[in-house]
Parts: sequence; structure tokens; C-alpha cells
Amino acid sequence: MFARAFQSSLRTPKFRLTPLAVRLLSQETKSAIEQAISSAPVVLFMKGTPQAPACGFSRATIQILGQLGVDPHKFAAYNVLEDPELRQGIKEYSEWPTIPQLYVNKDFVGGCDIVMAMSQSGELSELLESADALVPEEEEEK
Amino acid sequence: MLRMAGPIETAIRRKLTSEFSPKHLAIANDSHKHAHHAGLRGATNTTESHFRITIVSDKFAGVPLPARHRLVYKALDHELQNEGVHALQLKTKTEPEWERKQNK
Repeated sequence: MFARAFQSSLRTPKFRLTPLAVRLLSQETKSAIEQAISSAPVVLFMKGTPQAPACGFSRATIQILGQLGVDPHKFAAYNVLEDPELRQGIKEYSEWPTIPQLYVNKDFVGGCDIVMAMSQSGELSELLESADALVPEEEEEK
Repeated sequence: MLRMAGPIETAIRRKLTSEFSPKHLAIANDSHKHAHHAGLRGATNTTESHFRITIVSDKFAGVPLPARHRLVYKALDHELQNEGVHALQLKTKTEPEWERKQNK
């Protein structure tokens, strides 16, 4: 089933970063974030994991991505609760104050409300399809 | 029962009203639903942390959705950075968009 494949796809790379005294986006954090954003066509910064989201907004976003048929091999999730540096850094990097945050092909898409609105309007499906991030239909039928 | 708006909600209403001159503005406080969630561990503000906001304003005309949300986040930057407001659920509509939705 897709749901199981989606779960097994979870990758939560550990950021090894030196804590900073100042609350500025360091070059180190910035390049770690850029690396994370480039790690897959679809990247979600969330609270908790896809199997165990720690926040209703992260849960809703994961569910939508699953329903739209995002290919687990083209998806990476990062748990911001595991790393305070990432949690603060991604907010500054995206200039977006809340989590979850969705990136497709390194472009910031939005948070939970935007993902939800775009999935209802069909825009998200189109975006994911053009990013070649959906499970091929033939495979789904098998 | 009459619900009293807290100081943060009052400030949010004031700032959004002056920033967007909204035709319609609804603010719901959902903080109780999130008071125990992991992201709020150690937080001092758990009673005014989560708001569901609907703003109908002409200022959103021709502005893409992420940019609309950024405008709201910018207007409430102080609340998000310093007052412990943790999440905003936003509906940002122009007047024609809002009317279309009401008539459906």
C-alpha cells in the first residue's frame, strides 16, 4: 500500500551544527538548509515524523501529500523538533514564521493552509506532476 | 456565553483592521486544542497561541496566496516573534472571492 511505502520513505538526516549564541542565520545553517531543500524534489519541514506527526498542521500536510500520490522516493521530511537550529533557521530562511513548510524543486510553496487550498484547487497536483514527483500510475495499478 | 478576547487577540484585531481595512474579519482562538502539543513544550503562552483568522480585504487583489499570508505574518510579526503566537490558520480572500464562496 502507498501509505506503508510513504512511511518507510522517511528520512530524517541529523543536522550536526554548532549552536550559535546569536540568533542570526549562520552560513553553516543556511548551507545545511539548502542541502536539505535539494535532497529531494518534495521536501517537508515538519514537527514530528510522517508516521508520528507532533502537530495537527504537520499531520494534515502529510496526509494531503499522501493522498495526492507523492512518490516516497522523491520525498524527504525533516523533523524540526529534533533540531532547534533548524527550527529557527528554516523560519528565517523561508521568511515564513510557522511550521510545516513545503518545498517543491527547491521553491517554497507554503504552509498547511496553502497546501490545503492548493490541493482543493488542483494546483498542487499540477505542481507535483510537473515536478515529476507523483507515483507513476502504472505502478499504482499493480 | 460571551467569550472575552484576550490581550493578544485584541492586538491582532487592531493591527489587522488598520493594515487591511477588512470588509470582514473573524478571529477564532484555537489555543486550547494545542495546549499540550510537542511544539509548545516549555511555552509560557498557551492560552493565546493559536488563532484561526479570516480576512476579506481588497488589499489581496492580484496578490498570490503565499504573498497574502506573508503580508499577514508581517503585520503580526511582533506577536509571532515576541508574544508566543505559535500558529495562524489563515483564510485571505478578496471581496469578490469571498462573495463567490458565500453564494455557493
